Amino acid sequence: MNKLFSKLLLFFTGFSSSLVIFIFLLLSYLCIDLFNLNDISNFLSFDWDVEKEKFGIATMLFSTMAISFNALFLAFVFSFSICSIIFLSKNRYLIFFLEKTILLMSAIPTVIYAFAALMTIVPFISTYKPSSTLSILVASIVLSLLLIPTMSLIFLNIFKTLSLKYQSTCLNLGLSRDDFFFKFVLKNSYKNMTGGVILALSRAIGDTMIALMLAGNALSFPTSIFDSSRTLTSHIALIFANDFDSMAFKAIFFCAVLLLGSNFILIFIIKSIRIK
Amino acid sequence: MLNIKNLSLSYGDKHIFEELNIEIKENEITAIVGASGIGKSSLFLCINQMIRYEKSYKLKGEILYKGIDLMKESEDNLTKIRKNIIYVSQQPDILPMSIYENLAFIARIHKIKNIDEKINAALEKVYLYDEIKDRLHTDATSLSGGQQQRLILARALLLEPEVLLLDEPTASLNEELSHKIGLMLKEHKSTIIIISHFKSQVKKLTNNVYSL
Amino acid sequence: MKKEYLFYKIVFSIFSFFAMALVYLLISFILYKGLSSISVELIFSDANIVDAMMFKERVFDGIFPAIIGTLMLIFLSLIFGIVFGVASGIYLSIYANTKVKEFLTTCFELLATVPSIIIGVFFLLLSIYLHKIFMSNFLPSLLLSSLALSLLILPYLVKNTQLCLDNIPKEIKHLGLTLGLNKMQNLFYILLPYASKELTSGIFLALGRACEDTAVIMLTGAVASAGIASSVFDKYEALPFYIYYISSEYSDQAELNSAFGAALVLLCIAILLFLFTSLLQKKFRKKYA
Repeated sequence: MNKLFSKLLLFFTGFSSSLVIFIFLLLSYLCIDLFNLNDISNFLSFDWDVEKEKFGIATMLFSTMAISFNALFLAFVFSFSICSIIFLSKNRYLIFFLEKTILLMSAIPTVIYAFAALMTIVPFISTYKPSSTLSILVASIVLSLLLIPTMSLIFLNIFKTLSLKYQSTCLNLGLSRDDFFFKFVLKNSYKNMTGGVILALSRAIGDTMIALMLAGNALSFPTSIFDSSRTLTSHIALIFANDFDSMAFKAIFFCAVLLLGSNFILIFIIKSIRIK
Repeated sequence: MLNIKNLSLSYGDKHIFEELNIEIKENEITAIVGASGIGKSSLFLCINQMIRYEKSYKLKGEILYKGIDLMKESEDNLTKIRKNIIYVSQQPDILPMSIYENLAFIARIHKIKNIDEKINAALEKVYLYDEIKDRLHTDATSLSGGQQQRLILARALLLEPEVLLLDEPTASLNEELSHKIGLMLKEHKSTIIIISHFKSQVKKLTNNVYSL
Repeated sequence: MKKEYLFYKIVFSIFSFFAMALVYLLISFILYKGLSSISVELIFSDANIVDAMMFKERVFDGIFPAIIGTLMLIFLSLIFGIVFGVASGIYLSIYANTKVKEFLTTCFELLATVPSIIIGVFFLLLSIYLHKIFMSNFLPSLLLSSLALSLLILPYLVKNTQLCLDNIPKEIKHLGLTLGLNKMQNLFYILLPYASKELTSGIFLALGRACEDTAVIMLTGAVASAGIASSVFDKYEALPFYIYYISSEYSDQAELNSAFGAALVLLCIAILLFLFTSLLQKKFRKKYA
């Protein structure tokens, strides 16, 4: 009975953990004949036009990068500021408010952020710049809100661990709490903070709804942050919802493999940082 | 120099000490002895007011340093005062940096000049310089327990404080080194308070002994 | 007050304020619009409330089917999630040796970063192939969506379960074994009851993720109007998809208002799950203190 139970657990564990490998292999298999069938440059060009049989996904790749990195930068600035304030402030109520808000933010559905932004930020921006409605800018701002809890919780954890270990030592030596934060904590936490930033990046790349609802999904190459654009994830969602053309499908699997691959690479980078 | 009047400390319901009166004279060594757990280290926390970062403590009385009551000072002023009252803890609390940085990091913030010379001098004083002069820039956590203890003593000496609070400074050193460090402290011209388990050890250093 | 860092502090304050203002602006906008537009009619349309609640009368226009769809989705993915997630967590914490553990943990870490849209694509493909070969009713449906969602929340459940069991103090961990229980009895009689609160809080946290995800369900069976699903093999409505659909296709203010109502309900479900989690966490923090 005992042995049977442990075997059963092993079966469940093995099954659920192997699914991720299975997903990766299946998607790779589905786009594999793309490499010998057509020249790969077709897929890496900037044009997507099903009627002209052009399946370039470079534009989507670019806008995924643009939105993710913009959002990542904003989220880093926000998270870093919030965590610093939590660390430096002496006002207990302010600290409580900020900490609880971060936790609350992690619970709010993305679709609600996107919907609310669609009704508030988008009209607000278009009153100042009438030519722009749905754009990379809006998507980046809202996506950064999604990343704040991910990053902040990691940053706070790093700061707390360091101060638990070394704060009394440094204060004993006549440092103020400000000195301790700016000269010691920051210096000793940037390596671990990189891990948090990379994790947030993988979330940014993988997000679908915000990009789908706020970035505008235009197929043309974006030239400024006020332009509408389409990310890999929303491209997948839109193509699956619309047409089932076989070549287009293959290009979609290529998108999926790219997304999955880049996220896996990011995770392995984080792991190697952690080991060092 | 430092006057402790009617000091009582309790954590929650537990009384650590009550109605303590100690007078510490300038440029002399004062020793405080007593069994472990009697609150010797807590007394140091009271003197440099790091006790403010503990939870659920109750402190009454006065701690006069040059006539100022430390218990009523603001945190900002205390930061400046703590630079002059350096506490050297029993567990070597070295920072995760190289040996050199462990000393230089604090010195730089306090804007001490000629850091390199002073570091060497401080290391010489605790008889550590010869042992580690070749690996000043290696990780400080690789040092042995005794070396770490001398390193944090050197760090304290480097800052040239007016008052040194030493918590069992020779606990993990061998007899010869203990003796040497004791002599060094005796010649050192500043106010020193030493905590120790045993009366016999501190008898060699000073006659001002308080038992808790 | 030192002037040295004043500049940085001011900059930090400005950015923090900006971020907080943005978050609360968006939340309060939904709350305001949702509260002013929500009504019984919006939820149940013109159906009789009691009948609708008892599933006697079908509701077509209101957001009631979407609410029920979301709740059913949460419930089903909870079941699959617990079976696979908690079982895997238990195995990793108690039975696995170091090498196996390292490999499996990596797998689950990778799984945690798979974008939800890709999980949706995977299950859609699965249903297409399985449908062709033998399972004729394995089409996009409530069942498929909840399977996909449970895969999405699986890594969180595994990690939480593993962490809870790992954090049990050593004395208690080996208590049953020293009293002559075998590993399985020890697990069920001592370890799981001991960590039950932490486990539940982790499950609720994962459910929060399940209730909000849109990308998975839009590929695996959520549709704009289907009424309440009569079986798990039916297509269904769900709140997040409803919001997305209306926001991209709305034609008049009334439709938009129903989306605001749906957003309010979804926000409430998410916040309730969140509050429940933090309440549980407060309780077990007391236990350890």
